[in-house]
Amino acid sequence: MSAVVADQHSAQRLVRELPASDAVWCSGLRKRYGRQVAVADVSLTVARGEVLGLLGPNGAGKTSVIKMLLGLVRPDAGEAILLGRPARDPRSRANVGYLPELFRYQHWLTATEVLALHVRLAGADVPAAEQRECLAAVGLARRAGDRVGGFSKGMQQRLGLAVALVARPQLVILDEPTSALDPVGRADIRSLLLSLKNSGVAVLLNSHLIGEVERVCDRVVILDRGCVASSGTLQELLGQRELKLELGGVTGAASERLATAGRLSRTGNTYTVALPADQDATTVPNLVADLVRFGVHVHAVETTRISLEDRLLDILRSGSER
Amino acid sequence: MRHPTDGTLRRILDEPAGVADVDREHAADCPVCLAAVCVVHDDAALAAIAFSTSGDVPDVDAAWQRLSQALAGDARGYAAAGSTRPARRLRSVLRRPAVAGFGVAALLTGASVAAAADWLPIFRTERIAPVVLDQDALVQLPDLSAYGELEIVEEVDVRAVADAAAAEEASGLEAPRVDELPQGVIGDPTYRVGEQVSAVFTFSAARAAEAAAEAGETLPPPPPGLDGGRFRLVAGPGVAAVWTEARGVPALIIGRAIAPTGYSSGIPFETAHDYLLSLPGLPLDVANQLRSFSADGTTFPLPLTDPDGDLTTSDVDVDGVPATVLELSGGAVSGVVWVEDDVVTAVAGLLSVDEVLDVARGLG
Repeated sequence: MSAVVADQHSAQRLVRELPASDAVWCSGLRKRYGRQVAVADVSLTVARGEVLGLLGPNGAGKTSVIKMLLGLVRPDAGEAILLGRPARDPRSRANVGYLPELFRYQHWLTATEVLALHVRLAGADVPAAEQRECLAAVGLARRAGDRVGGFSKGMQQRLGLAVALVARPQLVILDEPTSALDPVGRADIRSLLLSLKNSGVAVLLNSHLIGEVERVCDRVVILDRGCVASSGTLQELLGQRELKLELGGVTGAASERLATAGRLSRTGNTYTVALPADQDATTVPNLVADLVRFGVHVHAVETTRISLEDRLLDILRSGSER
Repeated sequence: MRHPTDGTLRRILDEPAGVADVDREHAADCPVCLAAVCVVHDDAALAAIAFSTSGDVPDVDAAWQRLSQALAGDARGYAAAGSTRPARRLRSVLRRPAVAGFGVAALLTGASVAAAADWLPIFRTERIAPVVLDQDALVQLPDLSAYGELEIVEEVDVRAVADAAAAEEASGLEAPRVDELPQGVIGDPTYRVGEQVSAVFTFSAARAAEAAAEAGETLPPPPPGLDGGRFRLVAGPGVAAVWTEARGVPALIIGRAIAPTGYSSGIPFETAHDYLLSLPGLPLDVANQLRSFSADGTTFPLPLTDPDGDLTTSDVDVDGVPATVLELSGGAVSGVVWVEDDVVTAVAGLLSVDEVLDVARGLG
């Protein structure tokens, strides 16, 4: 903290000039169901206009975290603030759109009627034309007058998304928004998320579809066994590159040289070096030149980016080793 | 509306994202909350100074030193927020083994060291006589450099070592060992050692005259031979064992050091002693206390700050050796100091007098 607070005037300026409150802030969230600890200690933030991906294996506590943020589940410990208001204050949810993991809408109503109902429940004033646009945005324009009872699961999920978006939310929380969608539907949702991002709406996206998260999220929080196992921007999490080498005649000295370049693993004649994120352009050529000097036969050299999936598995595996 | 809690106000500084808008709006226009923010800021600044580390492994001892220095030097901010007392109390407790003015006071009695820069003054000779100085008197003590040149020959080098064996190897002294720790003091100690330090002080009548003139006084004529007279000051090595409690404050400190020695070149000590005592800038009561010491260089003064006037001293014996007990803050902090065979030993901590004496008498 570098601000100088010499007197009350400075303190007042400091308070007034605080950065705007985040879309989501939570600290030390904890929830136990009987003997089962669902969430042990989760702290995270979603900045305004940011798309944050929540990743983790089944049972990691993702949905419990979301329910605690939304006041649907009371945390045993910790606290949360949504859009500047404590989460225990129902008004904190006034500008939040939510698509639950398990959704079911009134099957006797049409899509238009479901949307109108939710606009009323939200206490929002959204003209009918805007509601129609919202249905169109999720690909339901032509089914607006049809009863929900006749909708496929994928179409109901699209409708759920429209419900989450219709009251002009500043924060949208989506729990597995593409679980019932086909690949085309998933692509539609991705472009919808990108358009939300462009219009400055913050999104908390819980999905175990890693590719989806990788494509749209600014930042990722990985949960494992109720705790934050890792978090960071995609750049931070995926900045690493991997170097695969097919080598012959590797001496002890050559092995040591390989290990200086990064974390080294070996399968048969294939050596894999996890290169640090800050490596420069000369790292790989210098390594190869040194290996040749050591008399190593270099058959193949390939650099690849570590995928989010690899990274996730790496983090979860190293967590289970602890 | 109710004031936000202390924890919420702290977040304004260290985690603003955790402060709800309604609390921000309240705090921005509430004089009570703004005053509290000022206090929080000062606390945070102090903690940041105290616990900043250059390496990955926090050095609790070093942090404690920085904290005590920061507290000693920081009197502002608390008064504005109306919470003077706790800060002052903590500050005064931590400052107690202060060594400000140490060099000058030590030189005045002929036995000396100028280099006591760490938490434990490295003091000397065969008997310790505490000198109780109030803070104002310490501030008025002239700096040694006002009276001549002080050349550091061997620099202060106090550092942490791995264990008792390493401490003994580095210092050549037996590391303190305690069979039975007082209640509440737990775990293994950390060890610190200090190498021998030495300095040469050359008295300059011209420099002393300038200092006197600045104080609006006239320097009394120095006795023959004192101008240009050299005093060599040697101290250490020393070793300390520190048991730290949960808050990071030392719960128990045991220090041992080869007692410092002062060497005079030519001029008899008594002459220099009387003259130095007469120099302008030395408060009368301090001069009187110093005069009461033996002039043969075997009594060493232990200058202590006592801003709250709640320091008491008394004489005891530790295994037949005369020792001095220091009791501070109504018994919250106690210490005992004695000299035996040219080695000075001090036991101090957040303990009662009985507890430090038990430790002192049971030292291995």
